[in-house]
Amino acid sequence: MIEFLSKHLEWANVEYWFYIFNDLSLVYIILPFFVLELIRYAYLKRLNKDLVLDSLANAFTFVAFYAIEIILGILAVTKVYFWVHENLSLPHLPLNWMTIITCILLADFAYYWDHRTMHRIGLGWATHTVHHSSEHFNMSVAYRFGPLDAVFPILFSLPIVMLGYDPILVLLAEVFVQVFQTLLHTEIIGKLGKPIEYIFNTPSHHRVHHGSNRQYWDKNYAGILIIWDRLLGTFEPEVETVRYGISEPLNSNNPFKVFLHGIGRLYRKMKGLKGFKNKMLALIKPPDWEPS
Amino acid sequence: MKNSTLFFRTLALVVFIAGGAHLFSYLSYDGEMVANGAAESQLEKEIITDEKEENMLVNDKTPEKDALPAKAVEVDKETLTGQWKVEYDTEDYKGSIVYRIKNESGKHKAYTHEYRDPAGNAQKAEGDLVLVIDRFEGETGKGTYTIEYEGKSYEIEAKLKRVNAKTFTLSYDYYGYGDTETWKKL
Ligand SMILES: [Zn+2]
Ligand SMILES: [Zn+2]
Repeated sequence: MIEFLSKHLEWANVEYWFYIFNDLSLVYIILPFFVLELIRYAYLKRLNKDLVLDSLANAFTFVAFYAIEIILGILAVTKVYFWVHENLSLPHLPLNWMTIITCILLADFAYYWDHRTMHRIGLGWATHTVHHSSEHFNMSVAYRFGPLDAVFPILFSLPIVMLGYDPILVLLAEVFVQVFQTLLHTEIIGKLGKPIEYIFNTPSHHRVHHGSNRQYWDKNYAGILIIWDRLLGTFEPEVETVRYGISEPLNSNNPFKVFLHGIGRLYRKMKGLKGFKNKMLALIKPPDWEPS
Repeated sequence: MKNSTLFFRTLALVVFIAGGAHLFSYLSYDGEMVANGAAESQLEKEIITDEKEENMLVNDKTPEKDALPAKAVEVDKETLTGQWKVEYDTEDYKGSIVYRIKNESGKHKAYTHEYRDPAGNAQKAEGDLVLVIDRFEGETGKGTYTIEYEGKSYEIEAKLKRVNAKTFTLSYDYYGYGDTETWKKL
């Protein structure tokens, strides 16, 4: 076991394994699953114009998000990652299974905190509300991103680079968590076995996260492991039927409105607040915060 | 949950996971060194190297260099940064060392990065500075190479020769202790 975990791995192989899961899964899991969901919607007579327009808006937000991510990556992010790796890091860890597994664990934990932050501060919610604003729940919703969704994870993954992990490995692990998370956006799969539901984030747990029912607000932030929620007091099981969406519905499938409505709402809120300090506080206080 | 509880649980989890990875890499490195009966300093072994290998490496690699256009070499200077592997196959040490060359305010410096035994097992190195490249224009260059011998470290002059875009040789001669190493880019 120790020998297996410490055996040196070649970069090319590691990148290939991640490529099979991170990139190719779109072809062999996500798209087939989405087709299955469309068939199910048709069977349940829920395949209507709203659903199609919602899915198209999801695709649009993903393209916009991806463009922002590429621009950020080219401009600075990769350079910052490498600079931190060379100058602000613990001794670099060798490339073996132990390093890969712990890197994915840390990326998953960072995802938890990134996600929790996006729910609990005004600026975070302005971008993440986009993901939650769909009233449907299928795999295309996983691709529904907001304008700052590419920025927040940087703050949470840089500490992992500082712990001695290779920046490329950290990025691959982050995408791994994101892809796992994508697979949870489905109504087709009910509850899985007890041990799985106890340890892992599942479609059931993530449906709760998307619920607008009051008891489901700000619960189940997990990426891969639900144990983070259990340990940090944000776990809620799926009991009542979930109503998807946000407390203040969007009622639009206009892709631009979908992508920017959170920023627009935050801007209007800040405009309505008196005093510079209050305006700034609106950025970092919880989304429902009002000055006393 | 109180903020302080959240903070300490989070800290504990991070320390546990990342600390585990570091402890594991440290211990498996240590264990292997003892198991292989290898001495603390791998560099020590480079010095006691037989001349046969030196000749072999030089003869083996030099014919390729003429094929390289001068312009390509200029561009490739920028690609010096990165990881380079050197194979050692002597009576005392078989395996390889991966060095990492960094560009530090215009100066290229190589640090030890990883030790690999012939079976492919790797252990991280301490990140010691071993080479400062003074210049490497065109096909030849010169640098300061640090070798350790019997507990003392010596800074000696080394000659660099570009073989191709992904290979260069480093040779030194220090009071009869000489070697030519072939550095291959990973
Ligand atoms: Zn969320
Ligand atoms: Zn979601």
